[in-house]
Order: sequence, then structure tokens, then C-alpha cells
Amino acid sequence: MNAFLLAVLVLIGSSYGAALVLENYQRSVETAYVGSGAKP
Amino acid sequence: MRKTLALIAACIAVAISGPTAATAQQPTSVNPTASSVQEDQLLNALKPNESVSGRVTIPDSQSRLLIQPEGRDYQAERAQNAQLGGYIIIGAFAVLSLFYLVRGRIKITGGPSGRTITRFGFLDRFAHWLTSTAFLLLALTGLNLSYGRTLVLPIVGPETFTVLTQYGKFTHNYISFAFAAGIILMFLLWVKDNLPASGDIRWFAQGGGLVGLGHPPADRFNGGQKLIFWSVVGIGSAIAVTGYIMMFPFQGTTMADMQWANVWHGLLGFILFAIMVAHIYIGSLGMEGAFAAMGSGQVDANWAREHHSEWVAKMDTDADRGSRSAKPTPAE
Repeated sequence: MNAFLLAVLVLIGSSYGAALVLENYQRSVETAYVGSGAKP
Repeated sequence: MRKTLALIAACIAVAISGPTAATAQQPTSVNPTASSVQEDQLLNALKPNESVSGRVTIPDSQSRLLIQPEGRDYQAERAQNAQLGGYIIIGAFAVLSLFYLVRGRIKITGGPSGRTITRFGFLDRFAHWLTSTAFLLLALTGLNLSYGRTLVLPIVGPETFTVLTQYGKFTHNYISFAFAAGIILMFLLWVKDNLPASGDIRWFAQGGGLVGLGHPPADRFNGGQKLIFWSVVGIGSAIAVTGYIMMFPFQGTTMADMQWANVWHGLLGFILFAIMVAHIYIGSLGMEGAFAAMGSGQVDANWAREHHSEWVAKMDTDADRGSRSAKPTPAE
């Protein structure tokens, strides 16, 4: 596989993975905080 | 007798209440705002690193901060940095344009030989493209955060700008991990070939071959490339650290720390962007044969001898040593 192509795939995959982890973490912290108004 | 006593009592009552009623109707002379503090007196009385804060019972302890006078310095500095950043970026493009007009494209002196040497392997090129692609996306989304409201919003309108900037901010945050990983990988792969050497002084003294003083000898990475390497590793790491301070706010950091991180993140970003514009120029338009190093990994032999003669000599020595140590095969 072309090095550039692999780099782009890794970039997209790692960014998507980071987004999943951090957005879920933020949501769980917000719902744990009573009074935030966030829905579980 | 009884009527006389009642009359006397009534007169006494009137005599007592008269002055009291008169007194109650007079206005008081107390000024209710005399002891209150004016805002500028309060701000002037606060020493550096002090603030006005109260007590709160909610988990967000930062909400107790009411006045932080350094915030005004931060706002002024941020505006100055935005202006400075504009000068840096426009200046970089201007200098490169002028250099191209004067110097033109640096050609291979003897022309391409047609034979190639492997300069960078797959992992080298992967590390480079991972970091550079991430950096370009971070730079574009970051510049939108700094200048988008002024430059982009009037062109695309508020609805499009909102969507663009919202996705741009998410992109900026999450692509940062690929950028940081790329910097670490590049450091591990190339640090040993980027350590300063005595030949670098000679390389800089001859202008790196950019100003028509011949091609100074250089190893795998010349002095200019070593500057690029350490800029990316050093400035890139600082940008990543300040960025993560902002992404994970108030984790042991104060309001002043967050402001400091914001200011330096932007300023260092402008500087690294200008350096990368020069790097992209010399690696593409500015020099014949340069792009192939990261494109296919194979460079023309004449190009390699002109720009990295010491590296080619080492490669030739290693190749000779390898062929001499190989066991001879008997003829059949």
C-alpha cells in the first residue's frame, strides 16, 4: 500500500477513534453531574 | 377637674409629638454609596496574580472567579498576536515568492542521471505523510479559528460558516492525536541523523547552496533539514502540549495558565506554519528532484551526489563492504 494512503487512513481512523472515546467520556461525566440537565 | 387634667395631658402629648413628627419628616444625611468601592479602584488595588473570587457550593470551582484583571492583558495580547500572525504568514509567502523570482527553480547541475538511490523507506515516508497531512488540516482549521470570522464569514455567510467552523473545531481537536503520534515517530526514526555536526557550520556558511555558492557537502540531513526537524519536534511538541491544556481544561491549571496556553498555542502555530510553507516550497517547486525523496523514496543519483555527497559516499562504502563480505558462488 502507498505510504501516503496508509497515513491518511491511519489519520482518519485515529481521529474517529479519539472522537468516539472523548465524546463518550464527556457525555458520561456530564450525565453523572446532577443538575447538568444532560440526558443519559 | 377631670376635664382640666385631660386638657393638660392632651397639650403635653401634642407638645411631645410635634417636634418628633417634624424630625421624622426631615431627610437623613447618610450617603448610601459613600463606602462602596468603584470598579477601577478595586482593579488598581489588586496586585498581579490576584483576583476577586467568592465561594460556591457547586462542583465547578472555577465559577467562583468574579474578576480576573489579567484577563484584560490576555485580550489585548491575543489581538496583538492575531495581527503578528498575519504579518508572519504573509511575510513568509512574500519572501518565498521573491526568492523564486530571483533564484528560480534549483536544477540538478548535470541533469538527471536516470539512476536512483533509495533515500527513504516506507516507514520514513509514512511518518512524514502522517505528520504533514495532519499538520495541514490542523493549520487550516486553526487559521479559521483565528481569522475565519473576519475573512471567511463575509464570503460564505453565517449558516455555512457555522457548520464549517463547528466541524473544523472537531477536526482540529481529534486530528491532533495523529499529529502528536507522527512527531514521536519521526523523532524516533531520525533523531540520530539530525544531531548537530561540524559540517553544518560549513553548510550554513555556504548558504546551503541556495545563493549560488556551490553545493556544500552534507550527510543524510543537511543543516537546513536539521533546523526543520528540530522546529517540527520542538515547536510541534509545544503546540501539542498547549493544545491539550486547552482540550482538557483546569486539570491542575488556573485561568491564567489557560490564557497563557491559548496565546502561545496560536503564536507557535503561526511560526511553524511559516516554516512549513518554506519547507513545502523547497521540497516541491523550489528544487528539482526533491519531492521524489518523500514521494517514491527513490532519488536521482546525481541529485543525491549534489545535495548529500557525504551520505552517498557512506552508502557506496557500505555497498562495497557488503559485496566484499558476500561469499563467492562457484561458477558452474
